[in-house]
Amino acid sequence: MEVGIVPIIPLGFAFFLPFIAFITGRRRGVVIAYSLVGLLATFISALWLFNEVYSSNGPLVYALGNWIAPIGIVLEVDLMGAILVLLTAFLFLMAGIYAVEYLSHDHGIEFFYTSLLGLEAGLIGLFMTGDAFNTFVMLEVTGASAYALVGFYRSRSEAVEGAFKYGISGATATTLYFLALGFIYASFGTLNMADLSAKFHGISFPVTTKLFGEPTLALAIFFALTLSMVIVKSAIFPGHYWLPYAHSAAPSPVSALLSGLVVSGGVYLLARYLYTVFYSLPFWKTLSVVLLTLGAASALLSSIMMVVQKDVKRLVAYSTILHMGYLVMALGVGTQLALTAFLYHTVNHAIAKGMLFLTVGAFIHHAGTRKIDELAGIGKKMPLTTALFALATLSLIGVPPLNVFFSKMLIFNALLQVSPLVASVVVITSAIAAWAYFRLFITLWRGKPVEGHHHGHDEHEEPERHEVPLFVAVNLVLGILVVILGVLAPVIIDKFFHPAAVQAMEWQSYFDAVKRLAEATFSALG
Amino acid sequence: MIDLLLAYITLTLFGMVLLGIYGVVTRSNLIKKIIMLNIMGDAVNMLFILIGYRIVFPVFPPIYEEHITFEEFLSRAVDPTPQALVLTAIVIGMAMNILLATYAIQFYRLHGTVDARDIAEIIGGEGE
Repeated sequence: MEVGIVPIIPLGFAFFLPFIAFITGRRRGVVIAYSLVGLLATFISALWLFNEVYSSNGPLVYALGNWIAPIGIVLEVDLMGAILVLLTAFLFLMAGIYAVEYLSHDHGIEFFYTSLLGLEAGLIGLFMTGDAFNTFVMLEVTGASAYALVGFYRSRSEAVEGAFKYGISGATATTLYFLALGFIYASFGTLNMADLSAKFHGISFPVTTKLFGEPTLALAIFFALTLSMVIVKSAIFPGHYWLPYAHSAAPSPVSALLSGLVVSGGVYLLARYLYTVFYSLPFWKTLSVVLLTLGAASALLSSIMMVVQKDVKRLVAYSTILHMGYLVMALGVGTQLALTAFLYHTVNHAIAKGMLFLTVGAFIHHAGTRKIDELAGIGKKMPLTTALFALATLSLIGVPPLNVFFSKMLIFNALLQVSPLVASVVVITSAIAAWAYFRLFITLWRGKPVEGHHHGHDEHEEPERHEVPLFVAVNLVLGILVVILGVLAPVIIDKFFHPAAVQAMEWQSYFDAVKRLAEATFSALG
Repeated sequence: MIDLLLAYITLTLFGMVLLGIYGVVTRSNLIKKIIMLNIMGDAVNMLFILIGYRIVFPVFPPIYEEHITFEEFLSRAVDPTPQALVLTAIVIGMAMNILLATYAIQFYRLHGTVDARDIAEIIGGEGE
């Protein structure tokens, strides 16, 4: 197998799905079986890629169409990319299985799975690519699929409103990122990340040789525009307005993916630029202050917003903004510990938040409402789901043996190097979020069910089991992962995440991998 | 003279980008929002074309021919990379337009209006 096949698998499956659905007369079974095979194949190939990257001692490079670096587009996968690709493939498989039951009464499931596979292809491509322009394309692929998925319930006004808000904000943001690429291209004469890194550190690269204008000024504008893109795409404080609408209106499995992975795409890109490609920027101090401020503001504001929410999915959506704030704060530190913390927190947050949205989704699927007041008392009917829901909330608050505790601790340690005041933001916001989760849990477990249209048949349905086995199974798998990533955290960090952060910060090995291939190709041509 | 013209064009295009962002943020009509997004996208595309353009005469097509020296070719041929990038961006922009326009139509079907203010009133300012 080749490295380049990993993002192609979901893309290929997505491309043929509408045709297959049309030929087979939109048979549900066929669509579901085909999509799950696609998701499973992606997961297996991601596992293979993970193994391959960990057994090689440098980033893997794949030249698309055999056109090597400055001329063509390359995929470059290092440990950081491989971890995120594996995470993406795993969570998409889980959400895909979950959606089979969740959307069992909805029409247009073939388009749902087409967009889901497209979203997966875009994200995996974003995590694997070694070309700055390709990141723009992949962001748009991710974006277009995400906007389509948010608007899946197109007869509900909130879904259409959320999708439009998300769409117009995302499209504006990525256009700004495209403009940023223009500046970088005009000054560096290239868009390949390895080439940019080599140029930035003053090392010559084949084919593209010289710089134009003032590279520092171009970089400053590039980072200003890229940051404005990341603020919107990753929902950091001034650009977070769309997220509660979009993430609460989407179907629950999609919310899990959007909150866990898609928003991480933007901050991943920022991490890649700050820590690998343009490591040790001349204006790093200023940028660091900006990142720390934005992250702290977004964490504080969203934790307060969490307490006043009346809609259960909006509450969880605000928690996503909170965790994105932590990630951006970690990026603002600029040390290796910070990058390890960033990476571990991205993974832990994605799994725990995915689990939280999927357990909440099980409640919503049963009750048919998202209002916390109307969901009151549902916990007693679904004890297993409630236990898993509690596990997910405890993990996200940061209770010791569970996974997010360890990544929060790493972020806290990294922030302590800056100032105790900044580090205290993590503790304060965690406490406020804990209060919001605690209230939600109490309402779901002890609250009195309101008099509503459900009450009538609840009486005689009482002895029945309300749990959906598929939902419980998916959440159980995620719950086991939450515990394993927590209990074995020291081992896992030492074995996987620390080497990943070390490799991501070795900019020399990052561009050497491409440079060696390019030099070999061009010397063979003469 | 040419430098002045170039500066004028560049500044106008940057103005259009800012105008586009302003329009997307302030207009409440969804169709107008989409139009402003397009104005912004087109300005960015034009800026990209300008990066690769050579203001000389005669301009060569970016295909290397034997009878021209390499240095002359470099100084006179237009850089084809930005054009390729713009082509990609145009296609992506079209896809975005279709998606956003679909949602605008869906808005109209649900509410009988494409004005975000009216819709906010209908939904009732929940949350923020």
